Amino acid sequence: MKYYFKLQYKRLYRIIDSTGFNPLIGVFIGFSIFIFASNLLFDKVENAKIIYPILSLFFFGKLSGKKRNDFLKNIFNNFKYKKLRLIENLILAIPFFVFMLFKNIYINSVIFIFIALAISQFNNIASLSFVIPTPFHRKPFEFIVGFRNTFWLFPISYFITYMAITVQNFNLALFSLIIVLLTPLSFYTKPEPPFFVWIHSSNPSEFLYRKIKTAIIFSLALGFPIIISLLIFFPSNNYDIIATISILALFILVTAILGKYSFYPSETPIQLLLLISCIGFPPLIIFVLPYFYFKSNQNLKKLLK
Amino acid sequence: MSLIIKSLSKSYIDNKVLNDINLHFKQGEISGIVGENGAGKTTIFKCIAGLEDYNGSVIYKGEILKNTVGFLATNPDFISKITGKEYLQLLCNARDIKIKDFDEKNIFDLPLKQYCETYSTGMKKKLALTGVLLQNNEVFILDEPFNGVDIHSNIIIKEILEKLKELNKTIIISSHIFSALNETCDNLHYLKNGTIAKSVNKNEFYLIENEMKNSGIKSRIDNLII
Repeated sequence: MKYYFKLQYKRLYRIIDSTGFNPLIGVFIGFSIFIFASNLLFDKVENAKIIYPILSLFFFGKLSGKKRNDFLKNIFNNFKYKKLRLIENLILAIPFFVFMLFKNIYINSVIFIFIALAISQFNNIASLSFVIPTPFHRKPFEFIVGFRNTFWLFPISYFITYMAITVQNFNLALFSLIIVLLTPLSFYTKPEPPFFVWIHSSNPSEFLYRKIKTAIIFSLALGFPIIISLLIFFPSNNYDIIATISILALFILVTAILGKYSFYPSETPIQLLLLISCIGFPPLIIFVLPYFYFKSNQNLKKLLK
Repeated sequence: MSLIIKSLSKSYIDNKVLNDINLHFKQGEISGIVGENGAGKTTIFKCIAGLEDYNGSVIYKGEILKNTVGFLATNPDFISKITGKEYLQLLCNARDIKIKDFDEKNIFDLPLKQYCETYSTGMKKKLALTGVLLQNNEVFILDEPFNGVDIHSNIIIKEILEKLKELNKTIIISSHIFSALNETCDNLHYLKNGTIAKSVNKNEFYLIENEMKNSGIKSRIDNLII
């Protein structure tokens, strides 16, 4: 088991090294992004004390994947496998736990670490073969896959909107809108195999246009019930806020899509760093978006003619 | 329309995988490429398809080759959480092909409403092949189409190849099953250490088969099993 973690360390080193960064600098950048993003959430979101630990738990999903767990079960005996998964989740939980302690959230941090350790024993949850229906089946694939991975988030957000209307809390309703409009960002973070770009009989700009068009239409479709509710149930002086938030979220989404193809098929910390910077300081989009567009257009020429 | 490969070379850093490949694939013919594992078959296919950079030229008179090539990989890529039907829809959308009923096109009786990730190796291959066929391509590059597929489907694939040939398509396949190549191909190219060692027509296939059999395998096995 010691060798397994040694190997994971080597893998991490190689992954950072392959991005062109010195691994030590890469780790430093990674931690800086983590601290920046965590602080940003606490600064901008009202109920960060509750939302932060919940959001943090999403990072554990990748470790519960069926493929890797089947592999681990295959090579380790049951006791070692369970112990290994427990240690993995503990290692991943430590930065979030320490940050919460730093923010003086003691009870939630303890609950968080217990949940993080407990879910290490529940794997393959995401591997249900039951097909979740999706309204996006005509336009595979990002929204189909993303919706199926995060489908539970949408009824929760709609429910939060309903609650916000009931208690006449505009900010809470706005928060649910931000969640719904920013969730599609996660649909575009992982680069697909080159085959799925290559198959398109379009040039890079047409390809990007199609991707962006689909993303905007479907994101608006998901946010539509909340936007309409906000417009109906909250007075007209909030129109500009709703419009600004929606447009900004869509611009960030477009930046994420272009960012993915700028470095495609690789994933680099630069793209993530720039995206997070745009979320933290939206005026940056004016510079980052054209840069990503130009770079992705150039980059896709290898696969699309 | 013929597909001509001229002086194609490919290197991965210091490792030269393909060296000065010259080939001519004719329309209405099935061409086979054989070679040991690692000989460079998949790399040739990827270069022709435009999935890899290369030196040299791939000449195809007509529209942009990439937009009319159907490429079946040895182990096709799939995206998790999409169904077989959605996979086919994705491939058709990519080429602006409108198909209303995928069920009637499902000649391999695949469970199209299930997630692709739940499919067996053979089912995945059949799904990928169905997608490539639905795209209405002019050139077909099929990397080991018979691999991992059941006997009945193997027969169907052979019939599909015959049908494509009748339709005057350009077809290039690779396989390690010599009998399948014997039955389907019009010509064979033997790829050895990144170069074309031999190209033969149907009546000379045995020459390549003999050469592959006599490549010193026995002495290597004797070294392994004492």
